Amino acid sequence: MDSLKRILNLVKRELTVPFALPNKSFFGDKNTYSSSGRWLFWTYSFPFLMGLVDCWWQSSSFTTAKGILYGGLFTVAFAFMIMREYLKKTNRAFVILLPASVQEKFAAKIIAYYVIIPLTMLVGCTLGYYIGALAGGFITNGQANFAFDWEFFAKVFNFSSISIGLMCMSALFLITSFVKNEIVQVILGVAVILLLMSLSLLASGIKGYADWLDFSSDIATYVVYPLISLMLLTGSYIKLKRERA
Amino acid sequence: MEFNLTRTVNVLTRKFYTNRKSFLIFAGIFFLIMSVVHYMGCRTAGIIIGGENLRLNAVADVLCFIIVAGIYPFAELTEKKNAVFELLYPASRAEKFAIDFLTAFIILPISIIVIDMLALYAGSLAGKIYFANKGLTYSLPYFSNIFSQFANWEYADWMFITGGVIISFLGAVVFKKYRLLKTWVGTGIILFAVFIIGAIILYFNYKATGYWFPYTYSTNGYFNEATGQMVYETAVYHNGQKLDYIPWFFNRTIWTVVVQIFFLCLLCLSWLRYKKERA
Repeated sequence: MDSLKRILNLVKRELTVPFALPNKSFFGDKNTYSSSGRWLFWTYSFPFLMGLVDCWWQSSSFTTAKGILYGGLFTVAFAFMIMREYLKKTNRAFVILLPASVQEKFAAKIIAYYVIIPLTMLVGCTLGYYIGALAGGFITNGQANFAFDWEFFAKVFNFSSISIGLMCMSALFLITSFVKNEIVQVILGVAVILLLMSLSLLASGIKGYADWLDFSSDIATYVVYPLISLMLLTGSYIKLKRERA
Repeated sequence: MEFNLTRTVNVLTRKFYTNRKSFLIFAGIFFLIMSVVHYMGCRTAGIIIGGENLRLNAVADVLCFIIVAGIYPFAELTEKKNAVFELLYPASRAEKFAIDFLTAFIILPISIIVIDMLALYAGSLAGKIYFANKGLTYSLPYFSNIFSQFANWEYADWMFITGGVIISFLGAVVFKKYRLLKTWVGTGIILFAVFIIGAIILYFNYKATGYWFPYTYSTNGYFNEATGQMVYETAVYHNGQKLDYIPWFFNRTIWTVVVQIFFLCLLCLSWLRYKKERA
């Protein structure tokens, strides 16, 4: 029970502090709760703005399910933040002092970045885009001709894309555990994601030979990609454990 | 986050005041070059299609947006002495970042467009004199027409221009010396590496299947008599075989969002980098 309590405390910290370390604010002040709110505000305002632009400037590309896509991609992008405290020596030392075991710290990271952030991002970005699209529609036509694009939704939000997203996040988790420079992290992260995508595309070209790598095949979606994610996560855990040793 | 408009404006004014010589020289050179370009434009187009060519040179302007975004923001950080002095400015980190952001993304682009407009009128005036000497009339540009080259651009064009400015801006925070050069040489190397990896992957695909690209597409149009409109259909081929569905990566919306978020991440990265630098 104590362990659960500690994990929940750490999760709360994960969601607020990396964006507002003591005296070092990201989008907020020292009050971590309000800063967390502001961070969410800034994230959601982007899909809102894009919804507004899409339906105001480009009334043709009217896809309200696009919010889901923003949510998913933001989730992957936030994976760069997983090991943020480890970029600086002082913050790293501060993390060591947190009263919890390495396992608990790792579990807190997984809950925060693999459960809570994806959910808040998907709901918030969809809502943000929806409100923006409505506002854009009102400005252009004086009315909101809102229609949810189910076809697009199904294309974006299926187990295959969730599986790929998880694998990309795990790859970023591993990269941020090892590399301590933000620029190199971004370059490596984008390169690895591009490589994974190209390999998958290549596998889809030679059907029947490398189905296990092709993300449109079931074996890749349900077995191979989750396995790769698990391996990458294990790597990250081992690194985290060594870092705390 | 501390944010005060008065302080921001004060530091912004200071930035422009201290760099005034550099700004004036840059503006002067740009004005001269663009005047000559527009004057030559008048002469080649002549009086036959007068008014048609009289518009801003969007390509040159955009190139200039990208160049200035790599030169002027965070100029204080390039020298240790100035960097220390900049720490003492009575403004918060967020305000200082906002000033450089405004400079690169709003003030300088607008200034460049204004200078190009002035150069356009100056060049056309010179053209008018040139034609008057030959006894011909030449009309000055109509204001409603001069932005037409920008108006033709699509959403994707604007996105990549913003992306170019964002990359220059990021380079300006990351590098200390030869910032613009290092940024674009670095970007070039990364793009080249991606191209090489892509080429290798495609080569393997060619070896395995005989097709360079696993997926190709063609768009065919036919006239629909019932509606009286042209209908365009895109067919996707997978190694020569037509597919009855369109794969996700042929969806333009997806790529638009991916690129948007990538550029947004780069912008966030420049803020994080600045934050770390000024900690």
